[in-house]
Amino acid sequence: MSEYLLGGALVGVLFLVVAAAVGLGVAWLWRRARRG
Amino acid sequence: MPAGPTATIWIWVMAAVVLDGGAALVAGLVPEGWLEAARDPLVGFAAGVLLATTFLDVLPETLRALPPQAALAIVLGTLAVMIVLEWTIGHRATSGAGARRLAAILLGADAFHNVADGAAIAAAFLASPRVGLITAGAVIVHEVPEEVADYVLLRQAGLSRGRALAAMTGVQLTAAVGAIATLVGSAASPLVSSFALAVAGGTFLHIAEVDLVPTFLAGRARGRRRARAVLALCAGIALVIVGTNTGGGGQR
Repeated sequence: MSEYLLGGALVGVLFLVVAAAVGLGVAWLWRRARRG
Repeated sequence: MPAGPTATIWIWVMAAVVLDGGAALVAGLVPEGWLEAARDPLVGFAAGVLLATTFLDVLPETLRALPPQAALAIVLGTLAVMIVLEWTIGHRATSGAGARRLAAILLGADAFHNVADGAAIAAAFLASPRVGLITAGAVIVHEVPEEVADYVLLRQAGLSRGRALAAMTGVQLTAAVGAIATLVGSAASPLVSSFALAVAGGTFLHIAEVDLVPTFLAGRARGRRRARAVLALCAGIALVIVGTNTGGGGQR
């Protein structure tokens, strides 16, 4: 049970990191394009 | 080492991601007056489809692959994290933001959301083609009213129709990042897709119960508009029940 929870938490955190990086990247690119 | 997803699964998933990208175009192709009138029923229908897909397809599939307590803990944990993120970061970022900054935040948040959608589509196709098709349908259906709302905000931020649509379609394709990460991860361990499906269950519940339902139950919709939205919610649930039962009744 605990190893499944650990695995789920790990996948959840990885998902958050990847999604946040993509989201921040898109917002940054957009602001840069609008300024340029 | 597991063999990983087959070429057929890759094709299904990428086709669904491209179709999901097309949802962004609906906002620009349909007359704005019609969009305004149809917004509440669209939101209701999307909420119904998402809720039914979560309870009839995503959760049963997750419970088949993981111990029930672990599966439900991951679903509820994801739901809690999404609510906390929305109330903290989302609220802080948007309060007092000007129109131009709001457009950047909107597109960034949409990209975040799309990564989750892509992961959900891939995890569902890895579970079974039936669950994949129903989940992809739910993702595309809930994207339409969300893209309509984003389109209106981007136009208010001063973007031309063409630029707003191009930005939204491009951002929509970030779903491929979540899908590819899930497909590649599942080659390392099949449990990755089961965990991703449990996380998708949590994000779907968050979208339906926190994002969509309050817009017509607690929002500006009143009287007939609210009744139409609730009827559309029931229609969305009924459609998924029919789809689930005609596609094998949840049995593999």
